[in-house]
Amino acid sequence: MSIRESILVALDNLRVNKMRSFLTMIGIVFGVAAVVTVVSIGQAGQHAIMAELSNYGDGYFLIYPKGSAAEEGNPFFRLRELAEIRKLPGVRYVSTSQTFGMTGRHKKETLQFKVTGTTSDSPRMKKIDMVAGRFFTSQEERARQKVLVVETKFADKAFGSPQAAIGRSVQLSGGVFRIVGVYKEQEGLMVNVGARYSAYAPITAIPGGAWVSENLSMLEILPASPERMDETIRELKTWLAERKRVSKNAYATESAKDAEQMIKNTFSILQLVIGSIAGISLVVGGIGVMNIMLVSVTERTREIGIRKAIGATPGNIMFQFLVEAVMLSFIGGAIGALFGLLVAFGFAVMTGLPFVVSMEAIVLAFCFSAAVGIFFGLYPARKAAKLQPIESLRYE
Amino acid sequence: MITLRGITKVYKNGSLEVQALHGIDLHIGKGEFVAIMGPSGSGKSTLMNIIGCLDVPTSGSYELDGIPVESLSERELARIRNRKIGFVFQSFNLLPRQTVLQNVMLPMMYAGVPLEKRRERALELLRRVGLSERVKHRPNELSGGQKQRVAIARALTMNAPVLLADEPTGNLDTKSSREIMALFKEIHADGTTIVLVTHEPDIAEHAERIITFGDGRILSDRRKGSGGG
Repeated sequence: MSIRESILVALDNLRVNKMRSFLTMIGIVFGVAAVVTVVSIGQAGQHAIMAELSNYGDGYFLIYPKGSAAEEGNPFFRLRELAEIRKLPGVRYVSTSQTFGMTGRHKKETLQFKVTGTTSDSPRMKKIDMVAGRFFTSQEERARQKVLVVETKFADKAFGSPQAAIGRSVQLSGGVFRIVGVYKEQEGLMVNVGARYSAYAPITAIPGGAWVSENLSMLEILPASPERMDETIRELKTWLAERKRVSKNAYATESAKDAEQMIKNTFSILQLVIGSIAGISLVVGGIGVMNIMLVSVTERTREIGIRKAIGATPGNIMFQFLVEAVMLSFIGGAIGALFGLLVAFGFAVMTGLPFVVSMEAIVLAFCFSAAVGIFFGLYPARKAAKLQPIESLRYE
Repeated sequence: MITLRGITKVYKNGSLEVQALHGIDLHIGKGEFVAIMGPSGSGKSTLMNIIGCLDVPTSGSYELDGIPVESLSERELARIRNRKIGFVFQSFNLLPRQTVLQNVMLPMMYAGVPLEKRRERALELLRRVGLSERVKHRPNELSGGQKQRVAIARALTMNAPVLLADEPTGNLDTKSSREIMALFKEIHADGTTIVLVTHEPDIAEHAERIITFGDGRILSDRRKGSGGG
């Protein structure tokens, strides 16, 4: 009796009790669907965040004074210190940025802007996709010129195209700004919360920026070599401690790499938790499979007797019932995987997140459901195999 | 072909022990057509089950076609049932969900015969028992006589040297009974050893040798005419 034939026989038996087979599968279906959905959505989220993190240059990190540092003196940074920090051997680029909410007027319409005040080195440290014009220059920064780099969404809406926006002026609550460039906003999870349009401007050109530029709360650093980020951090902290007359541990850092690690850890814990819950539901489903197989063995006692009388070995009988149990959970697993992908796809369509088919989740769910079938099918199958032919034949 | 020595069978029912067979000695030669008669409870079905390797004796030895059977494992017994014995039961014992053709092919499936050969052989046998037109039917679409003919075709598929029939005509009308017995005679003429259990004297008359059972013992062993060996 070949495996193919065993499978066909098993499917035939399942078909006879369609409703019962289906109900038995449901536990497995939901278990597998839960695994596939959660892992797929989780991976989609992870992808999106990772994609956002990949916009930063290698080794990119932030440095900022801890809350407690203010007691030791003034730990904040001054804009002119940036040039000195850049001369440190471990530092390649340094910048700072601070966001300001501004209201703008355009053709009688009031628009909300999120203006990031930063330096001209910013595009060298993180990815800013210019589609027209240019980023502002260090001359413009030094001269405190009110120039603005806007996103395509605004350029398209206000002027029709990115090219048409170059050289035009926008009335913002911080003054009249001239557009010098248009960039494409990165797609990601944490885009544009609260404000409608994003823009970059020299930090020096922002009203109140003069005060801000003497009390910068955060610096962005790109180290000379990404591998030696930790040394750069140490070097920087030493320099700052000396300059600001505060202790070395007055400053904290946060790197893209740290964030990446944290996100990975968070997601792996999340997946472990959900995986365990799904595992429990698979076990419950497995018990359902066992239950129905025990019923099936009892119902088919006579069939088992007939098969044994004409030459089926205990092994043949055991294999037949085992294949049936595995088919039951395997089909449940397939339906569950399909269902899970469908839900993940629906989620992706609704949220705009990427749709990620997690092959590992599908393979894992399949293997697990097949294992459940074997594990919970074994006892009923053994029971069937051990039936005495003569007693089975007498069974009515 | 079949040699039984000192076969006993004791059934335990709680603390109650029932001795169904009291030391049976019996030899059935190759090509014999034997009828075993006796009232119900006489032990004839128990003996039949032991001969068919469906049950094992409590003590005694049993040799089938030169093989000492009493010491075999479940798995080996299954092989013996598959290769050496064809069964025909009173209640037909066909698989209700399988077609006539599938039922007849079943023993060959367990013997590992390729599907195409199985089909060929099964169709040939169904033609022989006159059921070529019914191969796609299910057992419940057939009459009793037809069901029994399917069972006989199934018993013949493996060319087993022994055919065991337990009250094969018990559920059949006179006409069908006569047809089935004619079929048995044909099979016997081809050289198959037939052991037939019945309580109907006119059915037993078809055999060459009639063994009568009572209370777990052989009461008489009678050979007709020149037959037997």
